[in-house]
Amino acid sequence: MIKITNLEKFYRTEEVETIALNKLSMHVDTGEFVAIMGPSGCGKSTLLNILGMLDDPDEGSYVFNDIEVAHFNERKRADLRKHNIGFVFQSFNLIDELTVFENVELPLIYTGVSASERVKRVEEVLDKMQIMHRRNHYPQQLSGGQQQRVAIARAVVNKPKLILADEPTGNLDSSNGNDVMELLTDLNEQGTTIIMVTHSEHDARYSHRIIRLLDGQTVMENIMV
Amino acid sequence: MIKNYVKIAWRNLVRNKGFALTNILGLTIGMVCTVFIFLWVKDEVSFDKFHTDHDNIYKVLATRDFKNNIFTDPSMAMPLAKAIDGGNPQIKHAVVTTYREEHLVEYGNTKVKKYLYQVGEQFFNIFSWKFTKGNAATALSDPKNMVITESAAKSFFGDADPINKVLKLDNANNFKIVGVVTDPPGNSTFQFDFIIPFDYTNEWVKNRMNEWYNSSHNVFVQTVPNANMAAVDKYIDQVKHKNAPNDKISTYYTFPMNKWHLYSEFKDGKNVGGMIEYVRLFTVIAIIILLIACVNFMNLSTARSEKRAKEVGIRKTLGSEKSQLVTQFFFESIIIALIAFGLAVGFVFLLMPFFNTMVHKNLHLNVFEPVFILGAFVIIVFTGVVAGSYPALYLSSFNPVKVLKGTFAAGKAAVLPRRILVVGQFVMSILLISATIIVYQQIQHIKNRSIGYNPNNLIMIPASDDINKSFESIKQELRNSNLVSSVTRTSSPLTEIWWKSGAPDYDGKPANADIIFSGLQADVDFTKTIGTKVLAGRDFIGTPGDTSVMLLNKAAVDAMKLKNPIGMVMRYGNRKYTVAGVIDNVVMASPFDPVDPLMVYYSPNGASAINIRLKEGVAPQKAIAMLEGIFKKYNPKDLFEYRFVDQEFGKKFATEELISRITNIFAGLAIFICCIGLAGLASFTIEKRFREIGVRKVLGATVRQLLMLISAEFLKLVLIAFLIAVPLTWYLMSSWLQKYTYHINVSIWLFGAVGVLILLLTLVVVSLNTMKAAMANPVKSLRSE
Repeated sequence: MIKITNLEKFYRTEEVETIALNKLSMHVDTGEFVAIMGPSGCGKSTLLNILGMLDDPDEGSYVFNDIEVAHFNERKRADLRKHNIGFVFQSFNLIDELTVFENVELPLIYTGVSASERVKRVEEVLDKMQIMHRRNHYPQQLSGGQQQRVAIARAVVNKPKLILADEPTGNLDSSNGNDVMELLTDLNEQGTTIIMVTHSEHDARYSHRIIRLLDGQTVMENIMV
Repeated sequence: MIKNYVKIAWRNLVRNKGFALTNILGLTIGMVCTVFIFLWVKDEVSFDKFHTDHDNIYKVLATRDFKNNIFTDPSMAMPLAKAIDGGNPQIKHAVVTTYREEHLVEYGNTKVKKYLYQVGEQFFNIFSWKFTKGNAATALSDPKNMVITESAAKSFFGDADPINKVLKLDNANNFKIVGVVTDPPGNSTFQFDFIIPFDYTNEWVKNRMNEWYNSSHNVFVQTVPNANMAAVDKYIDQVKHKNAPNDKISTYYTFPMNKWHLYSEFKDGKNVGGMIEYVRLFTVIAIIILLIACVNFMNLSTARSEKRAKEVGIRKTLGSEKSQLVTQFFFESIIIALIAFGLAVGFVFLLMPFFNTMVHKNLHLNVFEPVFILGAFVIIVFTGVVAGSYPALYLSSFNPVKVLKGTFAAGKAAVLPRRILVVGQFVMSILLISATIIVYQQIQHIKNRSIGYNPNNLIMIPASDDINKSFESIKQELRNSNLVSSVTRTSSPLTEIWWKSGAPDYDGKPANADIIFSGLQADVDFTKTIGTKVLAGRDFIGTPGDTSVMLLNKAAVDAMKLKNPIGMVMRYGNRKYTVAGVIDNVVMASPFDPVDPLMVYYSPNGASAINIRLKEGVAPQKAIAMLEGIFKKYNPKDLFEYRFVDQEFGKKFATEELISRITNIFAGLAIFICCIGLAGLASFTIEKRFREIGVRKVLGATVRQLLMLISAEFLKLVLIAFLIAVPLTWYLMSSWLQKYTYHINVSIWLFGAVGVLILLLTLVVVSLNTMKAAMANPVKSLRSE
């Protein structure tokens, strides 16, 4: 599904140039659950942003589903992203002004799904995440675990092929964290590819494979048994 | 999608009440001004448009060339209309009318003064007055017919049918009412209570119909559609000159009805505009005020952009395109504009009576009128798009990676445009305030100009034949009353010029010295009564010899370049006059213009005005009661009427004072909207710097130092605005002042005062907002991390 080759990304300020990704190469197959680990500043988030087409690389190739996307313009990236990729963030990133239902509905609006179909699919996924009873609440009225479940519901409502999760349990206690990891594992078992950035060895153990980064390069890969 | 936009917009408003209120209040005030100006402008440009054929109706004007002085004259010879009516295939109809006349109208015991026009037979064919009774075709068929307006009919007959009722005019002639028309609307050049036909069997009218050199009527023509106006003008000019071959100074042409109201001023024979200037001025002011309000919106929206940044990031991550976000933010600004407009319409309804009183109009707002709906649409979309443009483009450009990671901070890139906008706002406000003060000063300057006589304690009473006949007895009674210090008669009121002509001849007159003179006839005690100075020679003394002397004003002596005018012989018409005295320049016409040369000669019995100077300290009410008794005794048939000359003179400033009042209000509102925006911006700055304020306080900063810290940021901007506004205002207002012969010079002190005012205002507004943060316990702000 994903194949990146010699990917490079630099950050420049007036005085210093920082290398975030240094000729990084990797591939992820369809149906895999991959965890990316490494110390702060190793390039994990940069990689995730590029994989999620929120950012573009300076050098190298990124092939997504056999399409070279490294130098797509913003419009094309947005189009590819909204149909194929779901995001889960550490800080949930729900829109405060929208209810649970409306937050989950948002990706469907952007992909042009009809209103009746939207209601059906949002209810389906809320039911699956067991937060149906909170559908008319606003994010601030929910606990952290509930908010993350809403965020996951939003990430999967469009039935994406790939879910990118950036420290999904980082803001949760261990019990809520485990719930979230179970949810992600279920999704993976149903066929969704998952790439997750994490600091937690415990969470990483849910994955099939751990890629460890240091200074923008892969330093180790662990296949989980 | 749209539902989602509306939802988000609405919830954002509800959740950020302060922000919403500030924005909506500013926009509402801006829109109230805009709607009022829109209504005023709409009324001004609609003048006379209710006549069905307004595109093809013209007034005949003459350019009269006195070599040194060219002027435009609407007064025409009476037979002209009949001579051109039907004489040219392009001219459908032509009609002659009098100027508007005031007459005493009598029915039963009711006697009132009313306005009327005497008109030729084509009057109702050309102009579209709406008949509610009777019919236009036969209304003017008999010289004893009369057409009355609805409100005049009501004032005489109540709800009774006015048709066939007989009214008596000027105690002499009876007229039968044959038609009723709706009242002329406020936007009509013609304003009247009655229309009566000329009586062509009357000796006076018969004579006038053969008089091609006496110009004292108005002539109107109605052409066929798309007439060749150059040819029509040429034809009229030819007809007039064929009948009046000695009229070598005049050129005749037509002036379209569509321009009568807005382009009514002429200078040196050329049209120089008129109300159209104010229409343009107010349109510009409306746009400026709306822009100032829009700038508030832009500033506040971008200032709170960090709060919206997360939403933008999430939406982009979820697949929103930039264009969708731009649309969303425009949608929000248009919704705010829509709410503001709704409120504005409410306020307009509430404030309409005050506005009408102020502008002396009877405007009303009809929200179902297509032109209003179109105007509303334009205002809302304009405001929404202008106000929303910068926030929409700015907010939608956020990088989702940065905002979601929290590393996003609105950098200098966002602050600079905001500062430029604030500076622009203040430039406009300073300009409006300074301009308002300059207009006021200019009016005061003209008011304080020496007008050459003393209009206070001076009462004018219109004369009649009876009054002139008994004048000596009236004068004796006035003297006996002990309230009056002197009395004189004049051929026209002191605040009007009724008579203009060429200069008299005199020995040594240069061949090309064609000077326009004003003329006045007066009685003894002329200079004493009106309170003007005799600069040389003497006033009239009432001896038989006075009939062959004249007085000149200083302007006449200057224009004729006379060294020793006293005793010089002036030939005027077929008579000779010796100059007996030179008087000061009395301002009778426009106080904004120089005084024309004036000749005054002694001819007391044709007077139309009795001028009475009261003794110092006499209560006007007491004097009026005394005057009423005396004048009713000698002139029982007429109503007793009087005018205070100073009040009549004051009316000459009506337009300027109106303009001054309106600009005062608009300038005040503009600065108010600016302050609202400033307050909003200050509170956002403080919110952003809350932690910094806390840290500084812990380190020992005083409240005053903190106030200065925050205020300095804004004072700097005001200072820059001031430096831009001063030369701009100076340039604009200096060129405006040039159109007045007597004008002030723009003073540097004025700008100093306006500058201090604006600085103080900024300081107060910013301090009020900063105070809370500066006084707060720093522990609070530091803990809130």
